[in-house]
Amino acid sequence: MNQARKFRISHFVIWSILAFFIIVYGVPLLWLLLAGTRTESSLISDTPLSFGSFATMKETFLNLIRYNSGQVMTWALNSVIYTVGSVTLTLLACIPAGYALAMAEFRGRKLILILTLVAMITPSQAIILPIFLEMTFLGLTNTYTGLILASSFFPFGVYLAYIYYTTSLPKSVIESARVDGCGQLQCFIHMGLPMAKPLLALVAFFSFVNNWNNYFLAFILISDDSKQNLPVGLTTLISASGALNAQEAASNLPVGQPEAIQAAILVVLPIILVFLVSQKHVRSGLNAGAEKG
Amino acid sequence: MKTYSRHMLKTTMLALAVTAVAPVASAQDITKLLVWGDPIREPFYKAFDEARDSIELEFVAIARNEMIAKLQLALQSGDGIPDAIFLQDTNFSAPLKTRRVDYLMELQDKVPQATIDGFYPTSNSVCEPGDGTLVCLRNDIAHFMLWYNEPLMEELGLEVPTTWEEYESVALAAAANDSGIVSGAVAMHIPLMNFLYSNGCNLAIPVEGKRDVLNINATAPQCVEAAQLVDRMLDAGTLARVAPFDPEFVELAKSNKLLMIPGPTWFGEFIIKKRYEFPEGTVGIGMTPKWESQDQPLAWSWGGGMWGGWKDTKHPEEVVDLLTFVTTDVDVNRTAVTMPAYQPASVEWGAAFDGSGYYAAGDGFQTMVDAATYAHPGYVSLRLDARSSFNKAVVNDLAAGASFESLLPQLQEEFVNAAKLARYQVVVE
Amino acid sequence: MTQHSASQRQQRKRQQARKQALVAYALLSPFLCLMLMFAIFPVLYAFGLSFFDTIDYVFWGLTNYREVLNDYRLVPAIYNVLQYVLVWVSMMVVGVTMLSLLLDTQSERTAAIVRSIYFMPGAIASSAVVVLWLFLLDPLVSPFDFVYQFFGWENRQSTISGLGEVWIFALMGFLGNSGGWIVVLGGALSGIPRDVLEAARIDGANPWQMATRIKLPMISKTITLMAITTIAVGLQIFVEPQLLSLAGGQFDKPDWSVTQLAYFYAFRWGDFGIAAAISILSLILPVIIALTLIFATRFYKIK
Repeated sequence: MNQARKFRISHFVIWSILAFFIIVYGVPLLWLLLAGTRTESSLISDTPLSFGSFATMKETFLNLIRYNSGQVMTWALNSVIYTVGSVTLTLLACIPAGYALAMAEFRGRKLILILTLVAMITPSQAIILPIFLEMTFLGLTNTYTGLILASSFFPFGVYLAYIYYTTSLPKSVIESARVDGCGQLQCFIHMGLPMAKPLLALVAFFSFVNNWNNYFLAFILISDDSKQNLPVGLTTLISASGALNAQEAASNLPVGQPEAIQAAILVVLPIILVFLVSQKHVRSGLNAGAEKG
Repeated sequence: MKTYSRHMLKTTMLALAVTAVAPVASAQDITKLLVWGDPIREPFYKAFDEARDSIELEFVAIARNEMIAKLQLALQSGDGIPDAIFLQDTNFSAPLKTRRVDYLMELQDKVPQATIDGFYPTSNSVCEPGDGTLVCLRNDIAHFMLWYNEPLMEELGLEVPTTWEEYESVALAAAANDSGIVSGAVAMHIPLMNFLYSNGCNLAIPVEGKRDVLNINATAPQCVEAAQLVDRMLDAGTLARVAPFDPEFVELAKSNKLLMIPGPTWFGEFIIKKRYEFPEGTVGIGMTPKWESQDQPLAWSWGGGMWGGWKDTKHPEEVVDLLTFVTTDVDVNRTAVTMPAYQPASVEWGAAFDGSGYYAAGDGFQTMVDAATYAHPGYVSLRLDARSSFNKAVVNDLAAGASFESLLPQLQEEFVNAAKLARYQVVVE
Repeated sequence: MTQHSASQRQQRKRQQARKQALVAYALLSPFLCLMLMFAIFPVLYAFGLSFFDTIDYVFWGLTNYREVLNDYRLVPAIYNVLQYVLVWVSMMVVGVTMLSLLLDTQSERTAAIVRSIYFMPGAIASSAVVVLWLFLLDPLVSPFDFVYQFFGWENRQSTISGLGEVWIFALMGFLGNSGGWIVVLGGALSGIPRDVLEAARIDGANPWQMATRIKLPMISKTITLMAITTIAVGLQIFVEPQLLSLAGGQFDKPDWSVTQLAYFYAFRWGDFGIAAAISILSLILPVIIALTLIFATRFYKIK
């Protein structure tokens, strides 16, 4: 009896805390999605979480599409190109690297591992300038290749792969396979790759989020606005139209706050969708690597 | 990026298909120029492109806060440097003509003196680094005026103030009996600056004849006098402790609670009409007030863009032609969004402004022309970012409730530091 | 004969080891190329640049460093960043740990749904964050208007002054990053062997004791990793203060953080040498933290 009541109280406390945070985390996004359906004046005068109308939403969307004759769609397409390119390259680089670091003994392994971890923990903002100068030298600024290459360096992916293989592929298994005449490369192809499915999802997901949101690197490396990605395009749009800043209001563009909000939704939505779809794999990938973490 | 050439090519091909005897233009005759600007300025470039058969423009839209950075990147890489550029901020010319960055073309010997003389007096001082050179041409002028709600002024039986002291008393009279009527919003850099500068307060004003010497004296009597007026009005509630564009203030203005507000020349069209939504025929345009001790007003400015060229462009003549065209061409400027800085070009713009019927008096443009004479000659381009310094030292604290006067010492300190960092010599006079 | 075969065997073993190393390097090569291009070379390049006048390309020793250290904005910027990191890291450690432990008491299905909701704001990043927050901070528009009313903040300006940049950026960072780490910690928690938890339950441990005495120590490593990563990322804060200017000049904070100063020198003044010096200086702390972590946990050891 007593214990049951205690249990119920603790249950209640736990759920109030969880629910409070559901509101804190959920409301901003809910607001953003709803705001995309409202007019500029409705944003100010109606209650914060009210719904506008689909007609308004459509009109806003059309305004957004028409901006600079469809530039938003160009940016979205670019974002897709950059993201697909970088995620693919990231996977190609990270999975074998993580496998090699986890499974093989060779000279330089420790150094590479340490460098990877340092690179993972040290954010790239500080070295973005020299990267720019380097890419200029190579003639890769303002090219798809340049940005894809630069954003494919993803040490966190190697870290994840390394953890994954050290925890879920016992070295003894590899040793015995090797005794059976399986070379290092064959081992990777026949044992490392087939079991890498959750790992692929995990690395792909994190790399996707990173690349889709890429702002600084894209801003620096791409100056041609027809090659720009969505996050940078979004700031250009907002800044050029004065949507959030009336000082730059000397503009007759039909791009205001609702358009800015929908542009933001355009940036946010794909990530949410990908997360919801890949959530299961991401978690199983994390679980597998959790012991060491 | 939009290439007009693509468009033209299509047209040409269409012409070919139709007539089958189209003249073949040789590629060597056509000069290509890369130009940067904001989307609003695209029509200017387009008009030039259409007016010159031998010149083709490639336009790239750049946002204001990315302009300088993008230009640095282009200069550093040596690739994609624009031949001509629209500078959206008066503070952009100085950082582009330094030892570190030398981008802007000197125009003093390339543009005829008669053309330069056609600009409103002091309007090109944002393009004059102080060593006798001219590094850009002003697009639009944006000196302060006094905008007011005419029916409300009449209803209250009040006179449009001509001095700042009157401004204070008129505002106070309007706010009597808890009417809730306000006369300005000041939790923002430039509206506050106007109070100081209009009284002759020297806050990073270049010492005449010396390029690298700034006079900074934020605690001088003129500054204190202006700050005290602001403080009194804040305490009385006649000035709002918000920015003029804050939704809260916009709501006040919409509900007929805004009597008057000092604002630049573009305020009428883009703030009062679009945001405050004053009905047609209610907006009065008054001369910017003077201080009682002054013989004539002195008006700070808010904005105004400039056009500049690249000093190493392969086609200097075409670039100068372009810069002159976009600033002086009457047809292009007639529909400009803001008041053109070139006097002859601004006349027709003004006719359209007055003719719109939106403003209460039919001669608002003339008042703005008259006020241009009083534009502060110290409104120049500096290597330091005076606005962000002003924000840092004053605006946050003021919005939180501090008095303007009490913030002047830290304003002084911040400005002196910023000026020294930008390699200016500082004098306190 | 035996000696011969022994040395032969040894030779074969060496050969095999060499072959193994070769294959390992082959597998690593794409990543190593990227690391060389986008980590090692840039750092060395920045290091070199920091000793030059990058306008006339003259070697001038420590001049760039002297310029940086004499910049009056440096100390306030460091102070801002440290405050921000402190607030943000505390929020992350306390918030993420608490929510993860609470979620672990729920059934897997419920936890998964709640975790998804917690993750959502993580999808909003870079420029979209700023767009969203400019609205969230405006009492007229914000769904959190009642909170602001409680504090008497009536407009965006007073909300921003009231909360202060440190707390605003920390809240932005918390909302955006904690969800991802809750997912990670959830993974770590479900990795705790069942029998350990079962044994504790049989010993009569209540949920509180289970959480604090059993689970917490077992996920402490992951929490440490989170704290370290958060510190390192926080030290380089850039996008948030930089993009605040989108809302208008009065919100412009071009010298709020150290990374912004580097950006300022490079892109406002065109001085890449001073910018490189700031970059090198601001790399020192994260690298020390990273190395300490790595050697303290002997991370490179294969178990």
